[in-house]
Amino acid sequence: MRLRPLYRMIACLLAIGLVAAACGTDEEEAPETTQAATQATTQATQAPTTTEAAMEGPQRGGTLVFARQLETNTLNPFELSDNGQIYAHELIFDTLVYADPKGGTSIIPALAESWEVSDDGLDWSFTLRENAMFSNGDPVTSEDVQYSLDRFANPEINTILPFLALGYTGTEIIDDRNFIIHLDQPIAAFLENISIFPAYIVPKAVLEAQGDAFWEDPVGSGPFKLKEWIRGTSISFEPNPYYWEEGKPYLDELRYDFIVDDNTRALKLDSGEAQVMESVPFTQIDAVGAMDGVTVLVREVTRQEPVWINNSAPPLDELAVRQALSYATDRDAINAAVFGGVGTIPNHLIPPLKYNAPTSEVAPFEFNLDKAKELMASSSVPDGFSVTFQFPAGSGQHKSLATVLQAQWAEIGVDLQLVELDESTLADNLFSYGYEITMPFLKWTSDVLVPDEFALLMTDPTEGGLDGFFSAWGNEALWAMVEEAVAATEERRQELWPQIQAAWVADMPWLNILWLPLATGVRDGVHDVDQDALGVYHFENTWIEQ
Amino acid sequence: MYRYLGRRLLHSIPVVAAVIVGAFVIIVLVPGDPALNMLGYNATPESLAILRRDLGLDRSVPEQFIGFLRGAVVGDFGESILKKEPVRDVIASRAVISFALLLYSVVIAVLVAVPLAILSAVKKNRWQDHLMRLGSMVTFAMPSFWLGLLLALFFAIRLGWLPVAGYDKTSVLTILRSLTLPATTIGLFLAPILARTLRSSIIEVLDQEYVEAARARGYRESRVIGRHVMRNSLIATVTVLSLIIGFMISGSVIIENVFAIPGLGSLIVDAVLQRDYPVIQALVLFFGLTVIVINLAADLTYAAIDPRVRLITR
Repeated sequence: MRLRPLYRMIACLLAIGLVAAACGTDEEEAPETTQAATQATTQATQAPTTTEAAMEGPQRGGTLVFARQLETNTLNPFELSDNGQIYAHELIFDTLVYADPKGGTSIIPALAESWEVSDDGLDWSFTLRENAMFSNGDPVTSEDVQYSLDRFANPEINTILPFLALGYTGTEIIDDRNFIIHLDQPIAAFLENISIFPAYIVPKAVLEAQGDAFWEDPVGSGPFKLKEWIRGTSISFEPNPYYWEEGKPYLDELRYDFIVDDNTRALKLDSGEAQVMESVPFTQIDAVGAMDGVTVLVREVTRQEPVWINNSAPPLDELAVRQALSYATDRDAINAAVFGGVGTIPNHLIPPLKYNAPTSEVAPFEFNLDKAKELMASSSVPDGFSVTFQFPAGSGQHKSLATVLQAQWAEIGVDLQLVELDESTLADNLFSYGYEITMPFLKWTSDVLVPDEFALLMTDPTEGGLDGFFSAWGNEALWAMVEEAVAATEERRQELWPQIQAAWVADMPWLNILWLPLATGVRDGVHDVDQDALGVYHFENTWIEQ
Repeated sequence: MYRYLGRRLLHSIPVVAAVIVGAFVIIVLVPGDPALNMLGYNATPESLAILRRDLGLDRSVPEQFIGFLRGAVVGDFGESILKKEPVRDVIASRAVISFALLLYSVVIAVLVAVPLAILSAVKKNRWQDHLMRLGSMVTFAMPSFWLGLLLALFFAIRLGWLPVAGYDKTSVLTILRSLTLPATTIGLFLAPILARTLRSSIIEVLDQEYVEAARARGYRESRVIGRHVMRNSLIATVTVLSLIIGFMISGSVIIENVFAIPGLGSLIVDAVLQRDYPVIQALVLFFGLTVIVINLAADLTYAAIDPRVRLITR
């Protein structure tokens, strides 16, 4: 009975194992993921079986093992910000509001049961849930919120994402459950900004008493608390008995096993040693989905595959050349050859986020070789040019993508010199403009559901801005619209963001090859492995058939 | 013997010094600002200053070297940027696992290689010999991560005897179960090298007159091989083994990743990719010293196996 999947796996290993460096993985995670707000869909390679138990509803008990790619190294959210940390922090801590664990663009109540904003958008009044408690049994109070948000807004403490505290001036305590957050300017994405990990609410008294030792076994108000942490191997959690969602979580124990190698994670899932597998490589979705009792969930997320262009390096400083590169990119072919066909051809240079014009209104990037040649002919390099293309070493996926682009762009006379570098060197080169064209990150995603973060980070041409996120590009008119949009009303934002999108794409400062999903392998009998719009896994609703 | 040991230790001193300097120079030679490399584009001038101070980069190079030297003597390399633990603790906990894995691998390799080498040498140019040489070539040529996955497919998925991956340190038995597949993978990589080296040595020794003399005295073949041939064939094998072990300490990264074993191999990859300089420096020093110790142990083993080695070096 087990032979067929076994042979399938052997065939899969024969096909792909030999070309993949064992220590390099194609689904390595980079800081923070978010899920496609506007296009959140879930598809499975085989329909999950609806059993009698599933019909009866959640059952309590059981241990769930999650085969994770990245290791948890710290439980202090301000120390490291990759998903190895975030997915563990998310279990222990809670925020005032959070992205709906079931996906979509909604920001819903978490520790705060309600809130309202003043007419001028400067004062946000919140009320905490009556049963909001930390895992030590202490209530979550306004004082804890004030302490936590002050830390969130302190760039000396929040070195990870300090700009998300934009506009915050302080928290005014009304009573134990009521408080007002004051801003010095209206921030349209304020709720989104306080919905993610740097804005966790922590117990002031315990943290102040324990100091750094707090983070070894932290007290939070999330659905789980730390049970055991075996560094380098696994981290396990048990239910927080004081969690505000009554009756949840359902699991007795949740354990993250750290397994870097994609193939090994797949074998753990196949053997039943793990019930959930993170980051199924796109090229293995069919093989993993064909295992007995396994379903692969492919969820659209706010993730993109960008190609950075140094706009100060001739001839890449010419718009016609950058546009020609985009037109010469056959994204359909790349999607099929490199990403197993799971990607989506984008119509914007950033991930799919709320307010993006849908592809039905603004067409996806077009592959048009004639147009590309025409643009090249109008440039200063009509016969083509030679340019270096840096990409991450050890990533078969990026190597394939670079090779395909090399072949496609050769059609318009571009001689791509491929340079394979480690990720840190790629980042150094990006930050110091030591590149011409580069793919500096293994994974590139948004931290929030709305385009505000990316627009602020990537389009600020003023001194102190990031110079088009180190692409040496800026557009004053576009920046003026961004500045207006981040503080505008909902109605005005709906008008402005598509205009910003059009102006941004018209400049084509870099290329967006594809929007990409995340794939999760789940064994039958495991239900409600949720992933929110930020791509973060949620296990408070998860249950196992007993 | 003590004079021999003393001379060998003396020879190691310049090598140790070179390793210490090499480990220190890494952070000096890194292009750009290591603190900026670590903190990325979000770095504020204040956080950069704090990290530079923590790494000792705000001091002059000679001061930094003296600080590093002091730390190296007492084993204090600061805190890991990535693991958020003292570097000494990170390395100590993982070194135990890596050495256990290595020891287990060597035992498996020896258990496989020695009988095969003897059989192959005794049956030289017969089918047993050809089969061993062909088999060793195939196993050696197979990428180790792929061999590891095949072993996992068979023993963990098909037969369900062993875990696919992970390190369970609940008891000695669970540790052995966790390490069996990775150790077998490494052992099967080492065994062909050992078997071939040992086979050549045995063939050479088998032609010696004292072996003929032993046979002429009517000793059983097992005694001839065990007492007269093996002891004289081992020197080349010990040399190869010591070189391979030195290489395998840092070279086990692939196997550790495939089987999710939290050892030194996976640590150094993480440290290099994330630019965790304190860990890189400490590991370079640790690997260097370990290789020196292993080579010293090999030299002492030669002397124990063959007293002529001691006499020659006098």
